[in-house]
Amino acid sequence: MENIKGYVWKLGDNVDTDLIIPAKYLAIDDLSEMATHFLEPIRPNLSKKIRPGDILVVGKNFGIGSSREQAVQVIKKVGISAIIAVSIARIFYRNAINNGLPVIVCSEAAEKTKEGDWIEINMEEGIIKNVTQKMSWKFFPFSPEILQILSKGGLVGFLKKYNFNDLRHEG
Amino acid sequence: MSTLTEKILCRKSNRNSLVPGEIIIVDVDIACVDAVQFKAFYETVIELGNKITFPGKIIMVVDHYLPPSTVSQAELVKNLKDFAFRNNIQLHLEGIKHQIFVEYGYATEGALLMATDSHTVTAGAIGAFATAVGPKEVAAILREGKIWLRVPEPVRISINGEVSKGITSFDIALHILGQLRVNGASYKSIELCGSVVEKLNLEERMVLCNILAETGAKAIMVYEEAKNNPECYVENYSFDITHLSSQVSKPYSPDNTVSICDLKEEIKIDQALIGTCAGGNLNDLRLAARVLKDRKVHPSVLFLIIPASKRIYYQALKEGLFEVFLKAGGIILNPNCGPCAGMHQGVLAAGNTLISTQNRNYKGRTGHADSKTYLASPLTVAASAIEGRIVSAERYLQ
Repeated sequence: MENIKGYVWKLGDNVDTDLIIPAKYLAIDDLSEMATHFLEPIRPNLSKKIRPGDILVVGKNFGIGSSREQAVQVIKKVGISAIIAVSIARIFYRNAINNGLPVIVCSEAAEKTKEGDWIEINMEEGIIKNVTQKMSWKFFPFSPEILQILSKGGLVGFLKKYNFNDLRHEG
Repeated sequence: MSTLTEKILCRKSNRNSLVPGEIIIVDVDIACVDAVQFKAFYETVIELGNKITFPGKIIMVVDHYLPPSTVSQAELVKNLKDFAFRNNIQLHLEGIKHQIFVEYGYATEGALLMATDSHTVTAGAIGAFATAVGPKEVAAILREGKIWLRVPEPVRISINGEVSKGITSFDIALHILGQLRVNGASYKSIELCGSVVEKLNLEERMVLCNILAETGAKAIMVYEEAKNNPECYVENYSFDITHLSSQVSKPYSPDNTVSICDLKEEIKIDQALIGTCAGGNLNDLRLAARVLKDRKVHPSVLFLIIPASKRIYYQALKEGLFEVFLKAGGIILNPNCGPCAGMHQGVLAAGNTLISTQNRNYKGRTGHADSKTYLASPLTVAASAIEGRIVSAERYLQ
């Protein structure tokens, strides 16, 4: 998988799915229109500022609450290429992997990185480099199965070429 | 000796033993997609070649948009219905999926059930490994019959002691959630046991599993035998709820729990809800009716009652509960998720304060970002509706 590089947008702790995309917008058919409501209750104009390739750095418990897949879709739509978190909710993580959005748990990187920093992520080796602050951190590498799904752009990309029996097992 | 988690996941992955953290491929018994997630499901079905290999494993439900309140919601419902009919897939248009899973026997002991809904863990009350997945995955299951799963670390919660009068499984659940905290059991599989759990009926167990979903656990199952093998679990929690008093969770997090007797100031409410997957069971309606019989709600309170399923609605009607609610000044709505997620049927304006038997009170969830929602048991909600402020039902249960 290629390295991911981008400019950082930073959020705090406990950003739940009702903040990421309030439920009243979930029935909007056009994803671009839905994405304009990204984070509306707390940072209503952020969706307009994010550029493709930017990276979201967040605190603990990112994505708690509902299982709405639109939370991941909207984050991808506004241009975010990866998320680095102190901790992430399980369903959000699962939806992100299945949608080909890398989500990395690395509390030191998440805590020390500031909005506006430029960072580079090496997915295969598990390294986050904060170029602006000249720091780097290791993160626990993805299991091979997750990396397989991510490297194909998500569950659909993976299943178009393979089936589940092709997922490698560890050990 | 093993955990229920290991027993079920071994059988479904055809393995003799499993290690927490490893990725396995499991055979799924039932997977459910609802109208809210239909679009992503359908697009994925098409991208995967429109192969309807396992229609018998899929059920489709409309519960958040039942009936639809906007044209966009109606389009999703129409498309979901059309898909179900075209492909001979079981469709339910009668209430909340978590109640339907149990009522129709989709969830059984030892089953592996998945749904596009974070409260899918509710079915663990009957001993199913029930977990939330995304809509793309339900499409994958329709084609493959299987999906990938990370083996969770098993955690045991033992609940013991004497349940005081007026204390419900909702209060017990809020108390435990207040201790474990939101996302405090993320990825774990919780197994519930103990003398209190043994005495809970199925609906009470469903309430417990439902509210504990907020801990972020992958699955939450009642497993009475867990009391005999604590060594199988990565963590063991023990709760004695003998002195537990009525609980309420304050805005803006379901784990912001406090005893009502410890509330420092009077909290006025102007809306009350008995309903949702956490508090719309028949047992919950009966509890509320006990408090409301021959009484009236406070004139400033908009009081909604939403039975969680058609079966519950009909039974409540036959038992005379509706007469109690109507005479008290309540508004009875059709079985569905109601206003909980801010869709319709009682959403909140800035300045509204709701007390509800729902399971989430995040900022802006049930309406305007400047509304407030308090979570409480059906007894507490009924008593608070009478007084127009948050009180326990103690004085109404003599």
